[in-house]
Amino acid sequence: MDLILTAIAEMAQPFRMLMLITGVFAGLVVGVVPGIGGLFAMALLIPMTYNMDPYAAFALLLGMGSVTTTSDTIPAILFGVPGSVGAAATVLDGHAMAKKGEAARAFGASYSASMIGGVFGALVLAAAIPVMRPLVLYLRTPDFFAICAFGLSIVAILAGSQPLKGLAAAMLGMLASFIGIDSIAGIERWSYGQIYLWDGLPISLVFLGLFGLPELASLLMRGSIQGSAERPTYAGMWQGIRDTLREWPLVLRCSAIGSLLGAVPGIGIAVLDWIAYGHASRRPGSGPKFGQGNVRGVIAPESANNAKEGGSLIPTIAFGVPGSASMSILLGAFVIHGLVPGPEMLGKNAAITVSMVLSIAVANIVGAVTCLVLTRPLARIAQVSAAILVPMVVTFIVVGAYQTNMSAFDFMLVMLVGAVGMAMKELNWPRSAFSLGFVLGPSLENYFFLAYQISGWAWLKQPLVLTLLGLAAAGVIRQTVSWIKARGNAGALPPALPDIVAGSAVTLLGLAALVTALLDFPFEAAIFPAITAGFLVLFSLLTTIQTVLRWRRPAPAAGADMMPVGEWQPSDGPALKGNLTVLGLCLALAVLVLLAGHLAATFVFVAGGIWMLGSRSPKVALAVAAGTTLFVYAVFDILASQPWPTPWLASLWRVL
Amino acid sequence: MNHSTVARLSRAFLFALAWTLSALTAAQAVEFKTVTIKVGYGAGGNYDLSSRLIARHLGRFLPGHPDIIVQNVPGGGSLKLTKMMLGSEPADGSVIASVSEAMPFAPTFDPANANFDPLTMQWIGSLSSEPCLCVTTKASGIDTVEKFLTQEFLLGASGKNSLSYIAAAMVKNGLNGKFNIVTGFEGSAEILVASQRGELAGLCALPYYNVADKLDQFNILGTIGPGTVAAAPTLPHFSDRIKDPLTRQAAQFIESSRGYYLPLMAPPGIPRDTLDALRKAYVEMSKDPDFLADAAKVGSITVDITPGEEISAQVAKTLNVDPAVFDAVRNLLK
Repeated sequence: MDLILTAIAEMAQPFRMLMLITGVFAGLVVGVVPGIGGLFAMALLIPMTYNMDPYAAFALLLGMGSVTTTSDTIPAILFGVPGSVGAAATVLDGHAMAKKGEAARAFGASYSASMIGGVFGALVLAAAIPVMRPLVLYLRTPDFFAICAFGLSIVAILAGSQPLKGLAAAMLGMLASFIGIDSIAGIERWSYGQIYLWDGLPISLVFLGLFGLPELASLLMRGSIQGSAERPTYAGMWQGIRDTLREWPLVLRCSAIGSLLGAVPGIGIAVLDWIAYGHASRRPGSGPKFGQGNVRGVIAPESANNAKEGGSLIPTIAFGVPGSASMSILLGAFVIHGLVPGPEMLGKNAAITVSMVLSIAVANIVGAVTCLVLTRPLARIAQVSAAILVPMVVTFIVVGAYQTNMSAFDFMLVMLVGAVGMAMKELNWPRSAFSLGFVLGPSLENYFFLAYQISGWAWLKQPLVLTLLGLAAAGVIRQTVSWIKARGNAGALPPALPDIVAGSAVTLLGLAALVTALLDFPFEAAIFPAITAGFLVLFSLLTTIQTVLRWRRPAPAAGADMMPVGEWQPSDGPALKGNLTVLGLCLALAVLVLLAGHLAATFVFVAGGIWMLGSRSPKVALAVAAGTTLFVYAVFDILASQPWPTPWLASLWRVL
Repeated sequence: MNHSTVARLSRAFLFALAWTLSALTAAQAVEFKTVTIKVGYGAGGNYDLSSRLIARHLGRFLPGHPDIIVQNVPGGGSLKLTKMMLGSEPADGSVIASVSEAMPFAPTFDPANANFDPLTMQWIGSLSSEPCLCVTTKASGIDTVEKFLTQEFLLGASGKNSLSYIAAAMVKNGLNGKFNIVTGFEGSAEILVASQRGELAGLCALPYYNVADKLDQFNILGTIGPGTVAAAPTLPHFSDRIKDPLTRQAAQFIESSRGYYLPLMAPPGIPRDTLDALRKAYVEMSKDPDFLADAAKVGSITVDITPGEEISAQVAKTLNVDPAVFDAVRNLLK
């Protein structure tokens, strides 16, 4: 108790509170802008803490790190563009709610769930302080493998109305995650000498392309985010908050998922928000179906990803083992402030540990309240014309993508993944399953080889491993039974011909991957990719055969299937046009950025884009372009000061 | 206007142009605007921390007092950044890099991936110089070098290109150790925890500070790298125990880079005076009380610099050996 009072007294000093609030506001901005993650921001903030005391330093850093997952839902709900990788699951139902005019309700639900989740995570951290070290020592390497395998089994739940496609999508995601230099044999897998690919496909780019770009095409076709002209009100927001409170058991369960899995190295927010989403989707409650604007689909991932911060501090504090990527940067701050992770943090420096708990809790509350206050103006964006919104959002996606590696490959990759995402969206291949496979692939492979090297196959007999693998198997079997029961009435299906083409293409890709893996890679580097590719071929071939059979069925049934239903549009209609427009816009901006630099390009692109997409007034176009350019400058040059490559035109000028 | 006037005027113009150009280039050589330190590893590790530490101070000692920015370019244990520095980065002093000290030997270790000339790397200076250690847990019962080399147990390591693997493989193959190396851990903190859980016996390539507070749980068995550990000067040195001269030479080749830990490098085409200005500033910075006070806060780094000229000389000397040593090096790392 004394310890808590000491920590409160230390934290109450004005400078430390100021740093906490500064961190919270920095974190909110970082979360809103796609492409800059908390990871990058934390690396930038650490040198600023050199001359602070540890309380102020960790208040700033944790204040920032705790709330990026609160504000990253703003672009996720409004535009379907995840502000950080942790908001991808929120896109599905949050954006669907915004389209129905329920943006304010989605915001209310997501912020309140974030707040409760964040405070819950802090409490878990507090409760873990006395038992932290034995807890971390209890989990062994094979258990980590089993946790990842359990996480992957959630794919079965996410697989949607055409489960074979869901499974194939997950395998495709895993296969994509194996690109780069493998960590076991140290050889290149499918990177073909491209240095860019050595560290694998950058996860933030994959998520931006997969979820961000496809939604923009539908936004463009609809004309504005929200179809109806209904004005957003605070009543909607309160309804969202009431939703969260009504669903309190779900909030607590997902907070527990977030904080406990957050403590497992290798399970980041990109994994646990899908696990929470999958968990919630098993009982959709009274609302619409999952994926069509069910508020539980917003509450679950939002409570989980904010709860993570507290959980991932547990192994960091107890042993210096980072529970997440941003924690490995935080470890740098430990070193700078003379703190040694381990027993000291629970003894001599326990007051600092408690102050971290307080920082996380206060930051989550301040962050959520700030966002709630901003709800109404933000929700009004849902009525702004797509002609203005689309060029702005494309700018943030493309410029954000470029700052990942400052390479033209960044543009190519985000557009390529965007095109894949568009095809998946049109043809009902679940992107959620793809992303879960993508984020879990490397951890699964790595933990498997570690477990195998340490104890051969003996680890399969460990009790926790057996329990978790048993649970995973039970979940998959239960889901399979329900698929078999539901066979034949899958409801609306996407058009057959493009689906056959896509399925065949994926099958061929899988075959090519299988053959190259077996021929080119040494055994230990080949085994996981080969098995994954084998399953991919199996699932995609089966789904293609299914579609071919459906296509050849008597005309009336096929005709009914060919009707555009739900989120699927026949690809020779406006969907193709919208998607091509978005990709064309990305390409135009990418070329402009390379030619003239990110600031000049932003101005020209936004002004030109708004004018081209049919805005009436040139004044509006110029004003929005100037505002966007200023914002890009503030975020990418002042807040995140970094060297941008010299644009081609400037280097040409220099040569002349 | 006759021909001679035209000729005179054009000569004068050419002279003025040449003068302006030379003045401009001279001014660029001694004036730094903004300097970017690119780090070949992700944020948070020693390479990143030391670069951010240097970024706060180096600018004060460079002509023009430039701002210094840090950018992480992780990939292949800094092989990616090394290749970028040797290929595409501007050689005007605006970009310098923090890469692994083992990079000059990457073409020897892994000729397929590291196909560059290590002698073209321009060194600015390195921050630290200390051998690393092989340690085991007390619980493992491996508490003497004899037991370490004769008993069967597991040591943990990161990837096959990491120092933790290279050091362990050098000891195992050079001294016929019976232990096995488990690869694939994220970093030394993970390996230490796995050791404390009893899954592994320990690891190689740990700096002394990482184990200084855990001497009640870990045995230190010996050192890898030139010199001695200040806090424990009597520790045995593994490569001294290797009997075969060629193998011993190969082991010394592998461990030589520990003598210039955390180095900074510049691209090959950098003008001489720009490089000299960087090297001079680096040495001046290393004596500055403010810098040393900041460095002391980053508890994991003991400042003991090696000037750039010396690193270049050492690298050249190490690489100038009988080609048979290169084969022996590759055999040691299998």
